[in-house]
Amino acid sequence: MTASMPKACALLLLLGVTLGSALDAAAEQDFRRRAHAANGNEFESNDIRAEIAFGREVAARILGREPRRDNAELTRYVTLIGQALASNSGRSELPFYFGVLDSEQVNAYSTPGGYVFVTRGALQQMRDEAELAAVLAHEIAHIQLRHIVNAMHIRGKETSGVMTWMSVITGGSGDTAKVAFFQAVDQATNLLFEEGFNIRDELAADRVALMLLANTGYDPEALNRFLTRIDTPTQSAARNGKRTHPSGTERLTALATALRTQGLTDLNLPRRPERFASYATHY
Amino acid sequence: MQPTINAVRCCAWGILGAVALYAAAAHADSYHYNNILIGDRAAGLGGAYSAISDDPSGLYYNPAGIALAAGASLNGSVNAYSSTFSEYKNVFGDKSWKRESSGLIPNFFGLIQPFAGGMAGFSVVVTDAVADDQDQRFSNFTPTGGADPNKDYYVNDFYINFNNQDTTYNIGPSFAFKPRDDVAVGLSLYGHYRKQQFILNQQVYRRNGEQIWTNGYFQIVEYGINPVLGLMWSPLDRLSVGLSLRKTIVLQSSSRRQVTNKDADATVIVQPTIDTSTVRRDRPLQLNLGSAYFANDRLLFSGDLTWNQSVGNSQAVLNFALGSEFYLNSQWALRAGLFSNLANTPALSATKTGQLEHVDLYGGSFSVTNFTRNSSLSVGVNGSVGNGQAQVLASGVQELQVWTLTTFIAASNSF
Repeated sequence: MTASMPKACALLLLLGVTLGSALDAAAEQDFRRRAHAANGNEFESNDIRAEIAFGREVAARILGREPRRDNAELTRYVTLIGQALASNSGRSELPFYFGVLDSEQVNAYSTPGGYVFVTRGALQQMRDEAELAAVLAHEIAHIQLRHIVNAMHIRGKETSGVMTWMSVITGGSGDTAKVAFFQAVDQATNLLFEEGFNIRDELAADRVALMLLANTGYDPEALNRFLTRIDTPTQSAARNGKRTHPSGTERLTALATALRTQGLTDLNLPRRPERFASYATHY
Repeated sequence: MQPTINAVRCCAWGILGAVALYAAAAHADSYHYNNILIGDRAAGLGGAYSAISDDPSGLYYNPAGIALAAGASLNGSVNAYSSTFSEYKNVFGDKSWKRESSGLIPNFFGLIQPFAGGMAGFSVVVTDAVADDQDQRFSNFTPTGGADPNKDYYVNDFYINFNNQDTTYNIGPSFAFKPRDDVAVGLSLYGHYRKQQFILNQQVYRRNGEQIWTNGYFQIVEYGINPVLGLMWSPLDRLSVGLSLRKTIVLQSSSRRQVTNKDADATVIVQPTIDTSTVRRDRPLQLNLGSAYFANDRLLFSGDLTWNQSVGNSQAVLNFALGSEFYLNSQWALRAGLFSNLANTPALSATKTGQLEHVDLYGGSFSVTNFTRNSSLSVGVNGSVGNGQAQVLASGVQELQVWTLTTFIAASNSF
């Protein structure tokens, strides 16, 4: 069995290259996910507390970058719409908070635990209350689907017997866990402001948002209208500077498909442009 | 000349061989390259891990894999109790030499976490650990295996005390990133530290009244680096190909050999002969190529081929490893593997002298892991066995049997 590595390597490489050339190279790595990952799919009360604590920390980072617009009337208005949507999200355990950021950027953010922000620049691009509800619904959907929670593996402290053994073997995890917590906060902030969600999560949030809109009584096509409006070259360039909501033909096409397949077209649900316009002086 | 264990042995041969007596085989396991399986999951898979490598033990096998780790922050530690039994058969007639190596090895500790758009890590790895021990007394035999008690060389008693401690540590940081969705590259830059101490004491009491004594001591301390460059490629869904390249570069070495003896016809103990050296060992380039097929989230298969270059007197070696992982459910996983650990020494010849032992080992592994949401605990066992040849006397060849058995307990935790 000694030597002759070149032949063996060549065979293995040939196998890989042959198989690889058969398909597109952009293979996802999800196949690495093992069955034990399912253990984390059940959430307990301590997980919810961890999610809220984590989201509050990330929300503080957001407000550190872009200050809140301190207008009680506007905040109350956005909160009323947001709470109505959130009540249909299936995350009744979360105390949702809504706010407006004093930023010209056309954007919106959400953090785990129920913290949702929309920018003044985004409000200025909207034409009716349904569009505001659509943007909030999209952000609520990220929370509902736990995109950041799952991406960052935000979980409460584990109290199993194995964990007790673990602490003995690894020498405890108190300080390490704290460091990891704040590293995850940094990552989540970076995700929101720099990297953005992956397109799969964005499309999933869009699909859920459509149902939230319809269930709350808003025109679900509002999301498509708003995204189409802000998808101008100028707006895209400004938005792509922070890349948090990569839109484009693919996203709009997916939205149109979702509207059609979920039977959400031509519902004639309210848009409420007048009530939205009455708050225009506040943003 | 660099003093080595073999030099100690040759010296013993030189002295003892003149009276047709004994030498000592040096079973430090520099004759094999795959003596310890690193990490918990990897050890369960027989070391077939270069195309998986997506947890802290990937820092050692293929650092590119850590860029694909599921956990945001993860650490893992492995402790192993390792035993090796070697039997050199019919050394003196039907009498065999038996050596045992055993000890608790802090096999691995590693930590990975996201950093600068990729994944950074740090690991401490014990890549080799030998603690050979032999304490035996043989009585009433002739060195050649004959049974003539009237010969002058008939031995009333022969005592041998042998101890060899040889441990290699790799400690260092790693970094990996994904330039494309289907490709990851990574580098581990290990500091290399090795220390070996070897003591051999032999006393011979002949029927004719002659007494022979020899004592050999050898020590070597090495410092160096061991860079590991890794590449991971997923050419298609569920298939992964891993490639890693490593070479230990010894930057500083100091060794000391000391031999003391009293020959059969001498009346006093000769002053110790002491040699020192700073000659650095040349270590082989190692190329590791593996592939893994992730059939589903409960089953995977992996295979590795590891080639070690020929350097100095060491021959090129190609080892294999095969492994499979199966989840009984989301809380329990079983892993099993097969692997080889082939000798880098040439096969022995009955007509040559001063030959190193040659044993090709083949082994298997098995482990059970219990998962909770953020942690896992594994227990496992791996072992190998092989038959080969050795030359523990000045001439002739003896059959050698080697068994190894390692049990390990390992834990990992994600935050």
